[in-house]
Amino acid sequence: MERSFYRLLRFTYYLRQCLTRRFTPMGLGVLVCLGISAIIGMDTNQSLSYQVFTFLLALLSVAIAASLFIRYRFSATRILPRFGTVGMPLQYRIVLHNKTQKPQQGLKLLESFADSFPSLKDFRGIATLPKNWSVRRQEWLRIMAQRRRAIAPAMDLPILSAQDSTEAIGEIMPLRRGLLQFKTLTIACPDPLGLFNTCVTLSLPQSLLILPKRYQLPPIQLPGGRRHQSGGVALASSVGDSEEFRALREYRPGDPPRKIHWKSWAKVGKPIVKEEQDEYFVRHALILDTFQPEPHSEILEEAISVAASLACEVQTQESLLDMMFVGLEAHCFTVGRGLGQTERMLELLASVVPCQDKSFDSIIPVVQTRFSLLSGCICIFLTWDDDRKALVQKLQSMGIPTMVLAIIDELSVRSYRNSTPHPALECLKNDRSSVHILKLGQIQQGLLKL
Amino acid sequence: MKITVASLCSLALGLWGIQTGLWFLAIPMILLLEGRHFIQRRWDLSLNDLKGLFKLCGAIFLLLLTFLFITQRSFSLIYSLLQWLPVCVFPLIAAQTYCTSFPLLLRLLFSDSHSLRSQSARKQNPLTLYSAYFAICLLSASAPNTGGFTFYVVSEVLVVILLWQIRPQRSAPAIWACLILLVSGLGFLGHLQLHQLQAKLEQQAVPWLSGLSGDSVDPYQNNPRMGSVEDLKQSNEIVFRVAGDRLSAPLLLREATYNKYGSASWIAVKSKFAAVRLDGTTWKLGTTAANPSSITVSTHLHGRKGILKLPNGTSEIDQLSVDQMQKNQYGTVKVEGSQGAIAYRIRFNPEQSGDSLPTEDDLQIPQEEIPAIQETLKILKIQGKPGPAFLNEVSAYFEKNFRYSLKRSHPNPSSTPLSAFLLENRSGHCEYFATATTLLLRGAGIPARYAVGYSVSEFSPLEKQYIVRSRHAHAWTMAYVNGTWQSVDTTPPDWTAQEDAGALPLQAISDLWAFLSFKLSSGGAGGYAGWAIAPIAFFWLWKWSRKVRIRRSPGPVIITPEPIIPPLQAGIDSEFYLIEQRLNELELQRIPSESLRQWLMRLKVQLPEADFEALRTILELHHRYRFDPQGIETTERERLKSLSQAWLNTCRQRNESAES
Repeated sequence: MERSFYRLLRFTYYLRQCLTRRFTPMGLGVLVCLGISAIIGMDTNQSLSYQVFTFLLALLSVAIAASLFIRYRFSATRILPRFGTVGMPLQYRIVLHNKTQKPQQGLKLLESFADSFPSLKDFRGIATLPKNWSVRRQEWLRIMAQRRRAIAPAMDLPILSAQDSTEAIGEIMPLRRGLLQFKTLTIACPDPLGLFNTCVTLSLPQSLLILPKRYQLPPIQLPGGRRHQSGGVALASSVGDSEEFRALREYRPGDPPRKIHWKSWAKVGKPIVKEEQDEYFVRHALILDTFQPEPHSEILEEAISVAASLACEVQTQESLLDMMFVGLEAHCFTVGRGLGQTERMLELLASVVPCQDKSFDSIIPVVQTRFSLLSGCICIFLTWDDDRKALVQKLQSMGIPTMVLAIIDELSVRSYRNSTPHPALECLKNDRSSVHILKLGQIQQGLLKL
Repeated sequence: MKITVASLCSLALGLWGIQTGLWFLAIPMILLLEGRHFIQRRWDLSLNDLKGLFKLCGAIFLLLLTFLFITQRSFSLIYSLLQWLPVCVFPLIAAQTYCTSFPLLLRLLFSDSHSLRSQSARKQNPLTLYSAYFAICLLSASAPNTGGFTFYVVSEVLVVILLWQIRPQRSAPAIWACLILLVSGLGFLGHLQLHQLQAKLEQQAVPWLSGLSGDSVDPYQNNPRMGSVEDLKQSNEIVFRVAGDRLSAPLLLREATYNKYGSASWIAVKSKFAAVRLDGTTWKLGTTAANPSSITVSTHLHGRKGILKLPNGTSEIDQLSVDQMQKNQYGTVKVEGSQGAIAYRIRFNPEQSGDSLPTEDDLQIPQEEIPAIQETLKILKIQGKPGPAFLNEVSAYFEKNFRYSLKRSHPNPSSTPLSAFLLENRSGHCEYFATATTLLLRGAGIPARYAVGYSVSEFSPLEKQYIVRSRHAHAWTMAYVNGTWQSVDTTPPDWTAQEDAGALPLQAISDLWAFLSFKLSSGGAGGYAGWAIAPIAFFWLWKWSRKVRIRRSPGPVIITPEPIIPPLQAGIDSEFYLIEQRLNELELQRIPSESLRQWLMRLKVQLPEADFEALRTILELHHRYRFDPQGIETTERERLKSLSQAWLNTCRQRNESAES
C-alpha cells in the first residue's frame, strides 16, 4: 500500500513536470478547461459544455499534431562559474549552435537538475509518523522543499542565427548549499497555435558548488581583539616566530641551522644562534555546533549560514581564524595571514553534514588543543544545554573571551521568554563575553543587533 | 486593432448574460470592467486587502452553495452553481482592473520569495486573472442548454481572438488561420457526433438503468429483481408526499401495470399511450366517479419527464402544470414538460377502475412456470370457489405459509426463481408475491395484471402528511373481479415493518432536512425564502465552527436521565375489541398473521349480510380511531361506540334465540 501510494506520488510529480515542460501556460489553461468541460459536459442534454469540450479537444489535438512537424537541431555548451550562493541569482553563459538552415526564434530554454524526488525510505519515515495526515503532509512538503536544490525558470532565447553559435545568459536560483548537478538542457519550441511545445533535450551533465547563504553583518569587534597583540609584525607570513632580533645564545639541539649566527661562532668558537622574539597574533576560534539527531534541519542550515557570514566578514589580514566543527570527523581549518582562503572555508561549509552519531563532547578535545593559542572564541550553537554551557564556562575559565550565538526556534524562544532573563544565559554575560539569541526566521535582524 | 484580454472578458460576460438570462448582473459587470477606459483613478491595495477579497469571493461561493443545496438537491445543483461562478470571482477582477498593485500582490501571494528575486521572473508579464476569468465566463455560459449553434460560434470566435493575441512570433498567420479553420471544423463535427452518441447510448441504456433505479419506471417493461439481487436494500430517501382528507392507509399508488410475464420480466404488451384531455385545469382520465376520494401528491419530476403515481380508479387530476399527459390502456400515466417540484390533486374511486377490459394476455402463464402454478393451485383447492373467495384463499395461503424476506435464497439451479419461491423457499419480497399471485389468479381463470408503485403507510407528524420513501416501493396484483379491476396485495402485512427496520438512526435529522428542502423548493414565495435562510444557515455554520475551534477541551458531560414517555396507545379503548372478543367466543378467531380487514373478508361467508356490512363500517371507524394520526371526530367516536353496541346486542340476541 505504502509503495503504491509512493509510486502514485512520484507519478504525479513527474507528470506535473512533464506537463509544465510540454505545454505552454495557455496550453495548460486549455488542458484544465478541457478537463472541467469533460466533467460538466458529460450529459449533452443538460448543458452546452460538451461543445466547449469538443472545441478544446480539437484545439489541443491540432496543436499536438502540428508540433510533430517542427524539426530543429542544435548543440549547446554551458559555461558555469566556480561557485554559486544560496538565495543569490546565479547567471551563467550558454553557447547554442543552431544546426539548421534557418534562424530560430521564439524558443525557450529549460534546465533540469538531478532527480530530487524523496526516496521511498523518506516516504516510509513520514508514513510511520504517529501523527495525523495534515502533519504528515506538511512533513512531506518540507522534505520536497528540502530536496529541491534550485529553481530554473523557463528562459526566452534570443534569435538563433542559422548555422551559427549564439550566446545566451542563463539564470537559476540556488536554494540549497552543496553540489548542484545539472542534468539536461532542453530547448522548447511552441507549435503555431502556441499551446504545445516540441522539446529537444541534450544530456549535459555538469556540477557546481553552491555556497551557504550569507547574511549581512555589522562591523564586529571580536572578543579579545587587537588588545592582546604584543609587538607582532603585520606582514609576517607565519605564526609564532618573527624576524625581530632579540638576543644571541648557545646552540641547543633542535635549533634550525639557518638560525646559527656564523660570525659569533667564529668569534667564540662554539655554535651561537640568533634568538628572535616570539609574536602573539590574534587567533580566534569559530566553533560550529553540528550535533543534531535529524538528517536535515533548518537550524543547522542557519548556523552554517551564520558561520559562513562570519568567515567572510571577519577581517583576517591581521588575525587568524580557526573554524572547528565535527562532521563525520572533527575538523579544524585555519584561515588568515596568508594561510588558506576564505573561499576554501566556504567550500568546506557548503559540504558540512550534521553529526548524528556523536555527542557534543567530541568537539572538546579539538578545542582544548588550542586553548593556549586562542585570543577569543565565537560559538554558534544549535541549542543551549549543559554540555554547551560547560564548554563556554571552560573557555571563560581559561580567560578566553567568548561570544555565543544560539540559534533557536519559535518553541524555544517562548520558553526563554517565559523565564527572562534566563539564568543560564545571564550568568555568562560579562564584560568579556556575550550571549546572543538568534530566532529562526529573524536571523538577519538578530545579526544586525550584534 | 488589438483587443485586450480584459475586453474579451467583457464580451464573454455578455455571452454569459445571454446564455444564463442573468442580464441584470452581466450589464453592470461589463460596465464596471469597461469603465477602466473612462475612470482614470486607481486605488492602492494591501496584501491584507487582497486576502480579504479572496475571503469575500469564498463567502459568496459558500452562500450560493448553501442556498442551492437547500433548494436543489439534485445533480443539477452543479450546473446552477457553475452559472453563478462569474459573480463569485468578479470582486477579484474589479480589483485587478482598478488597483495598481494587484498583479504584484498576486505574484507575492502565489510565488515563493526566491522566484520573486529571480531576474527572469521579474522580466515576466505581470500576473493577471483575466485569462482565467475569461475561461470561467465561457464555462459558466455553457452551463444552461439553450440549444442551437449560437453559443458554439460565439465562444469559438472569442477563443480564436484570444489565441491570435498570444500566438508565437514564429507562427505564420496563414498557417495559423488554416489550423484554426481545421480546429473549428473538427470541434463542430465532434460536438454533433458526441451529442448523437449520447442519444444512442441513452436509447440502449435507459431500459437497463430504469431497472436499477428505484424511482424511474419503464412503462413498457419491468424486470423484477427475483433471483438476481443478493440482498435487496432500498434507500430511506423520501420520494414523494401524500396529503388527503381522510386517507385509509395503506394506500397503493400505482406507477405502471404489465400484462405479460416471461423470462423473469413483466412487459406491457401492445401498450398504446393516448393524450389525456385537459378540461380547464383538470386532466380527465375517465368518467367522474361518484363519491370520490381525494388526495394530493407532491413529488419531483426529473428531466422534464415522468410517470405519475396514481391510485386505482383515478378519474381526475387537478393543479398539475405539465405540457402533455398520456395514458395507456393499463392505467399508466406519463407526463412531460415540467421540471422540479410538482403537486397534483387526484380524485379517485377504487370501485371504478378506468383500466381497459381484460384480454387473452391477462390469462397467459409462461410454460416454465406452469408446473409450479398447477401444483400450488392443487394445494389451494380452487374448485367451485367464486372469484372473491379465491382471492381470500390466496391471501390466506401466502400469509400462513410464506414469509417476507429481502434476502435471496439459493434455489435449485434447474428451477425458476418463481418456482423455487412457491415450492421450495417460500420466502421473498413483494415482487415474488405479486408475480406468484398474478399467475395463480390466471391459473384459476381470473384475469390478472402485475402492478408496481408505492405503498403509502408512513405518516409524518412533522409534515402532517404521509411520506413515501424509496423503500416503500411495492408490487401487487390487479385482479379483474366483479366486473372491475381491484388491487390485490398478498405480501404479508409485516413487510413494512421489515423495511422500516432498515431505517437509519439519524433518519429524523435527514427527514427534517428533506422537509425544509421540500418547503423551500415547493415554489412561490417559499423559493425566495431560501435567500433569507441561506445566509442564516451560513452564519450559523460559521459560528458553530468557531465554537468548535475555540472549545478545545470539552467540559464535564452531565448525563440527565431521559424522561420516560408512556407509549402512545390511542384507540386502545375502542369497542371493536369487544366485538373481537365476542367473535373469539364464537370460535371465529383471527389468525395471528392476518390483518383485521383480511379476517373480516374471511368471515364474510360465515356472517349474515347485514352484520358483515355493519362490521365493515365499524372496522373502518376503528382503524381510523386506532391508527389515523389525526384521530377521529367526537361524533364519529360516538358512532363507533353506538354501532359496536348495536352489533354486539344483535349478535347476542341472535345467539340467545338460536340457543332457545
